[in-house]
Amino acid sequence: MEESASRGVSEPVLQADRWLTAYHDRFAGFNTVTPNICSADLFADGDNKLLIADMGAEWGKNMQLRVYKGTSLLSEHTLVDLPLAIAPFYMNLPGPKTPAIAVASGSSIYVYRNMRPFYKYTLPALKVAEAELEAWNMVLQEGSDLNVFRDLLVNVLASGESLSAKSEHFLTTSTMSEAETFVRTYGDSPLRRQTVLTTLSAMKKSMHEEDALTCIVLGTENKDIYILEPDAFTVLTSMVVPSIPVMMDITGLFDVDYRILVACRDGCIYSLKRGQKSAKLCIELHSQAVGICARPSLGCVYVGCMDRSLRCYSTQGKGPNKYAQLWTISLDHAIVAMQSVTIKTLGLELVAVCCQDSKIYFHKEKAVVDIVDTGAPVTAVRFGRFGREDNALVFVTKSGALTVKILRRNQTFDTIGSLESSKSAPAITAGNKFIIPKKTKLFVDQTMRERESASIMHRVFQQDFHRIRLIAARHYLNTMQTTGNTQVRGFNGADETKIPEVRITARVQGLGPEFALIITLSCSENTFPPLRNLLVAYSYDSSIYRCERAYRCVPYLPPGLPTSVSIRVTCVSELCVSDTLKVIVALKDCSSPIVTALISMPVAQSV
Amino acid sequence: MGLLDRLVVFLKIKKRQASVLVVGLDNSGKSTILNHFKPDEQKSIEIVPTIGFSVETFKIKNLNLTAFDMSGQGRYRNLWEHYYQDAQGIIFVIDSTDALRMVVVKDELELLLQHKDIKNRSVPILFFANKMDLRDALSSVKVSHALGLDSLCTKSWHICSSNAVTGEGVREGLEWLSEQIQLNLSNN
Repeated sequence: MEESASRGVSEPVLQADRWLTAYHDRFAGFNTVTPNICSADLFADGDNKLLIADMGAEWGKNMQLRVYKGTSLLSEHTLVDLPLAIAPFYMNLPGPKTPAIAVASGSSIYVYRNMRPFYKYTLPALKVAEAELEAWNMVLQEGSDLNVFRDLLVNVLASGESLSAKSEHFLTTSTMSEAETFVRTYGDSPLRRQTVLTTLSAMKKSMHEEDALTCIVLGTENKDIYILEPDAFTVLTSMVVPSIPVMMDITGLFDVDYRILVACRDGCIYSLKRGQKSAKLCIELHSQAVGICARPSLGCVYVGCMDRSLRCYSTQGKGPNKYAQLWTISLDHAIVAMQSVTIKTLGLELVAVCCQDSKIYFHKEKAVVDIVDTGAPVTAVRFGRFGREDNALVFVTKSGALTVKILRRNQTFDTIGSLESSKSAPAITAGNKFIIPKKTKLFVDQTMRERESASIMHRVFQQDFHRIRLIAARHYLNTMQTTGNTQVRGFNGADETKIPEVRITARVQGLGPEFALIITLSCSENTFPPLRNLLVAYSYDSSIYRCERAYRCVPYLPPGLPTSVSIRVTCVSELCVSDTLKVIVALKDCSSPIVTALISMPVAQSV
Repeated sequence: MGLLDRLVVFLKIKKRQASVLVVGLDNSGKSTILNHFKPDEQKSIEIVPTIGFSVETFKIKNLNLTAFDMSGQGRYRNLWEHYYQDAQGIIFVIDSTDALRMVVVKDELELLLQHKDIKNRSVPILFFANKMDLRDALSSVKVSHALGLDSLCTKSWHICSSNAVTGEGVREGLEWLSEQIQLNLSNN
């Protein structure tokens, strides 16, 4: 490690690999995300199985829940809908304590027990808006005009309410006949408004034991958080968040005390506590969260954001110090997945941050302590018990490969010296208060003056502002008028030079209707500075001729050396008449041409 | 060793003493294998995960063996190296159905072989590719390949597949080990 310190920032030197690659299947073909991986002791034999819900190689096709025992695939279960998240949970049933698996997709949770379909829980239906009901009544009973009906539905949407799936479907019809058919076919089916799940997680009910009764926590598109009882699937508690939940981090027990941190689509994190009905805003991220992982033992929560920052917020303390930002570091690459890594044997709490550069960085607070190269950007990552190994890291990459890595015994995680860079923002510890400088007399006087004569100050400022704009406009106009005969170079107007003389000769080759027009440009030997960025453009009657390119660029015209460009001109006139073609040579960014030539084209031979 | 002692050994009157170390990952069957050498009345019916270690003594081919049955759980593996010094033989038990952790086995074996108390001594190592009766078990050849035993030339080693529940293959393996230990003892 000393060696790495001496090398400094240039290249981080890693210790011998801490991770053993236990399994790598490059052709597993997974398309999945972090919430879709979990491990569970399915048969209560001490051997944790790995469960991965696959979203299908082509989205929404051939979706499967695959169960791995060690390195072999134990079973595959076809899923009916796109999986959102899976979670193992323990029910209060007689017999051996085996977990059931909850697969969230669409607006339902599919529960598997002993890897057999066991129960389907569907979210409670929502109230249909009055106006929407009325509108449907009108069109069905009174047979009112469909255009009026459509407007009514749009009004419902405009008033901020959401429509049932049936009405939304109706609004997508494009033609009148289609709309009529739709109303005739589906008019009688009941109006139901159904929301969809956005996140799913699990929370122990009253005991921390691995196989203790577990509640299911879910978030919906309707901004609700529900906590379900696992035996009867009744809603124990429902709570509301101000925005649509995206991910949750749960600590505590349902019966004792718990806190749910909910990252929402509005870029804020809200907290929910036992007994609260609505959420409290705690962190404004000003960016979207990619991963959130709470560290109750350290009293903080790590949040990875889309603006390439990893942030840490305090979850302890009171008042303004609670949820104060402890530190933030900006990473070189975008974060794609996050996972908390707890190594019990070492007493370590790390966070694994997967970045776009195909690496997993293990952060111990701000410092990077280990890097794992994954070959392709990671899409899903889990750390935990797999098989009989407690410290297993499972990840799926964008290429669909599945890899299982096992932490070697007796590893120490030291800071990779060079990576603890100075990029990190100054730390604000939770206990410190902001240091506000004392108010000076000058400051107070200035404030008073500003308060008293605010309108005068504003007027004076506006006057000066308009004046400066007028001056700027005058100068602009002046410049525009003078550039007609001189060329303005750079920012200093004094550097105006006479444009050197350019000679032009042109030859036309071919019989037609295709001609090759060769234009030769030259300038005298003592031209200084040499001409750069010349444009050769053509002007012609587009009903007779067609050029393959509108202009050609001559990047450099060496003094004394003729430079030629050739252009293919096609006579498109059916009568094969001939016409003149004008060649214009101009400097780039200059409105007037340097030289023009009029070329009379020969009569094209008909094909 | 005096002349009388040699004579005693030659006449197989007195048995020699040796201690062996039984290591391997958790749930590989170390305690179950040793259970076979216990007298019938001491045999345990249910084997539970060993905590720390336990000591068994048994006789095999004129050799009194003291076996240190080490716990294979991750947190107890640090204990192994403290017993290397006194061990005259090592039994390494491998769960041949656990393909996932074969890399962990390999890693542990490398740590063992590189340890200063093992590296420069002639210690015979007996590998048991255990649980051979199970359906997805790897053969002993595959296990030895996975562990890279073919390149292990500094130690005398032997691998045999076994079934610790029925005792198949266990005695044969132990007989090889006792021969090796006796060879080592008489060379010294």
